[in-house]
Amino acid sequence: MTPETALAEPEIDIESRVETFRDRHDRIQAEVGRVIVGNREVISGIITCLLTRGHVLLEGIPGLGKTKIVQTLSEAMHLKFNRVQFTPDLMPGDIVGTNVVRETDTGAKILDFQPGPIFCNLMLADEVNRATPKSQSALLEAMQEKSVSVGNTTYKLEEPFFVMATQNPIELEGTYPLPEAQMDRFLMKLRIGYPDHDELREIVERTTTVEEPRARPMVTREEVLEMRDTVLSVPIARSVEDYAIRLTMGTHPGSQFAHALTNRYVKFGASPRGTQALVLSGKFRALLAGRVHVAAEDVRDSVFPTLRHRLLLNFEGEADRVDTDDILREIIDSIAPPGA
Amino acid sequence: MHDSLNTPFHDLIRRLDLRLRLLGLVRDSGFVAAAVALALLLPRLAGEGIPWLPVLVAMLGIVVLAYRCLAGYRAGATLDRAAAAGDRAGALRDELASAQWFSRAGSPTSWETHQIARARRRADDLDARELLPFRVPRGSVASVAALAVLAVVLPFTEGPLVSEALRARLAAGLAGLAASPEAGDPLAGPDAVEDIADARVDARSPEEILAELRAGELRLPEDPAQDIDALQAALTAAMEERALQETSEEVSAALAGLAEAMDSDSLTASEWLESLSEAMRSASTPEELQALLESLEQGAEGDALSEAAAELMELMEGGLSADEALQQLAENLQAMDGQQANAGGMGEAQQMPFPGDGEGGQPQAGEGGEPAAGMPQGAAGLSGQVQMMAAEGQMGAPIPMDAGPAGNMTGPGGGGESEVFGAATSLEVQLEMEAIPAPLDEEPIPEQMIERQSRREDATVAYDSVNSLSEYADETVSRTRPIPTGLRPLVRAYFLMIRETARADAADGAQVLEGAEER
Repeated sequence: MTPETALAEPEIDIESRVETFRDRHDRIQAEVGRVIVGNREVISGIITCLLTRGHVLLEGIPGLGKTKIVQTLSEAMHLKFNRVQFTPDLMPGDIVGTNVVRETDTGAKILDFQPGPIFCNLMLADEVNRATPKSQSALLEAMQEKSVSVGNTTYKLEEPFFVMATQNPIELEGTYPLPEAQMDRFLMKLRIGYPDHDELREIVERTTTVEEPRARPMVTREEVLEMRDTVLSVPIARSVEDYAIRLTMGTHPGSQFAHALTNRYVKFGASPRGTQALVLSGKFRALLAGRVHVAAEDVRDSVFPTLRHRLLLNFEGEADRVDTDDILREIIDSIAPPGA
Repeated sequence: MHDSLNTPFHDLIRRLDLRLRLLGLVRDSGFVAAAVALALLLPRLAGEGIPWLPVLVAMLGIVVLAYRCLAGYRAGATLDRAAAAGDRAGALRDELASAQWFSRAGSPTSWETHQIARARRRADDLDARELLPFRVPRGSVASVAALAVLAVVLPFTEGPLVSEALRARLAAGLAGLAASPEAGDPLAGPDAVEDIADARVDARSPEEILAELRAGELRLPEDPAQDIDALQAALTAAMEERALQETSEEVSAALAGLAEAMDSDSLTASEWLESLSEAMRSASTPEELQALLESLEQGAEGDALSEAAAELMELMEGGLSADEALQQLAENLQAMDGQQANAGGMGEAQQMPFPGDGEGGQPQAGEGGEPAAGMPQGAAGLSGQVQMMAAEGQMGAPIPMDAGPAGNMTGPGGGGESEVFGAATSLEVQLEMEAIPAPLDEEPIPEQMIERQSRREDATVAYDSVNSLSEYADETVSRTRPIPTGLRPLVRAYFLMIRETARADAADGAQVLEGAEER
């Protein structure tokens, strides 16, 4: 198919898909915004992960509304939502489910699978770093495979399957920090900060009255799946792809694109999943901007949430309390965008 | 060309490409103009006829630049680069570049085709002249302007632009720098400059020249090279005097140590003589050697040292240099020590075997009474004490190995050496015999009992590399443990310190292991 012959028919369809995507996204964002005050970047990041088949790790101190955001999103998207509070005594069976012995009408005893809370569309793994690595692995394996195995049977998880894990950066005693290999499975790591003065007043006014606002469903599950396909359809030029690759390699100590800060403070850089996350997030941003191609700035703006948790600092970096965002900022400044 | 490429979009890209090449040509032309100006200026600056070498170099540069311009025009900017330049100029967020890539990638998807169509519509509204306006780079304008000014001004000037006097001073200064042997010594410079103030030379002193410079009364000398030569002579004289003083001080200190050492131990005396020879290596002229000999005579105290000094004088009068003479004297002393040690070794051979020797070969005392390599100080067999025999079969005083440096000493030697080295020293240490308890259930066999006891010391500690453990530990601790902010520098310094120690320990441990395996 040449560009000339391909021009006629799909044009209107694609334009309408892009417009529909933007419209649905705006409606979800607005509905969530009716309940959640501020945090538009965080909400947008969570929606990005949900629509690019990724998962998100939220970091913030308790009480900033992490659980509320996910709960509201599930309501706005009309998706099944489950929450698991991770504790040290949580077992894998408590997440994925277990086989129980059940007696049939005829008196025969059979093993019956009781699905765990992971069988949902949106799962909130609250304080994921408080559970043992054994339980964490059960969750993270399900995130990657989109299925769970109990006994000899594998159960497929329903799409969309999206996990939002939270961890708070304080009270680290008695916790099991996620290993780097498992952190890598989250498409983004988002940080929730304190609300400002106006946002705090708005929160107080909304939540201290008789009727607390609740989100209404804006899209159906099928529409969410269609939005996912739309994101993945957005094309990306080779030059922009190369830019994403150069940015990723800029986090690799010793590579030709490595910044001096990378060589000094970074022990391990971003994996290929990081490049995938950059491109996927870039596609989502391009659609939101009404474009059908990924621009270099889409990739650049995705660097912080997609790469910050993939950089493992060495001892020097830990001792000097280096922030990975500072390193990424220097990498962005040092790597020229395509055509520059 | 394919029809699909004859669209306004592709026309726009090609026009952008052409403009990019032209802009590059103009920019490179500026550099060519600058090179031409430099080539024209060189002969005028030098005030000579046409210097062919610089002109040839400049012409070669011009040829290279011209080739670069031509190559840039013919193959320079690609269409992708032109599209990217258009995106940047029009803030189009990679729209043209993406469409350009999708159109030439082949078999575009419906989304890519849609993007190409979008770019075409956009191209209809764009003008290459507005995106990339023709603008001469400032560097090129400046180069051409400088060239024009030179072309106008140079015909009105006469003679060279640099005066003959200045050129002569520059040449003399450069020659002086090249000839100065101390030019490359950063440590000698400040001292030498201070000594210049005290130096008395026929020419004007540096202070006078400096004062004239400060007062602005400096007149250009008829021969500037003469001043520089005089300064250099003063500098050399001051440096030689200072070096001589320092060497004499070192010799005096070494002689004082020599006097003490020769009273106590001939081996140490030879070492002192070697150090003295090292100190005198810088003195090579006859005057310096004479000064050193005088220092030697003045610093000599005691008969033994006087004899050594006399022997040194004889060696030097025999034609040897100071360094060679001292080396020869040191060798003579070592030879005497060797004779003593051989005699002592013969005496030892007649004694009982070393009571702490196991099958693994506990180290014996080496020649000259020194402990053999690997022999631990104070590791003295059963009782921690050992009796060492004196030279020439005489019973020497028992010397405890625990005494450390005393283990290096031989017993008193006989004959004429004692007159040279003074009376032998002795330590009042008594040998204590250790009673080895016999096992009750076995027949006591003395050889086995001794052997078993001696093996007690063969226990080894398994080597384990802790380097990787420490590296793992420091990062884990810093990541998982909340370290108070105020203590972070301390914790960091601690881990950095033990990391180096752990590496050193690992290296030492590896050597110990290798040694154990060899045994």
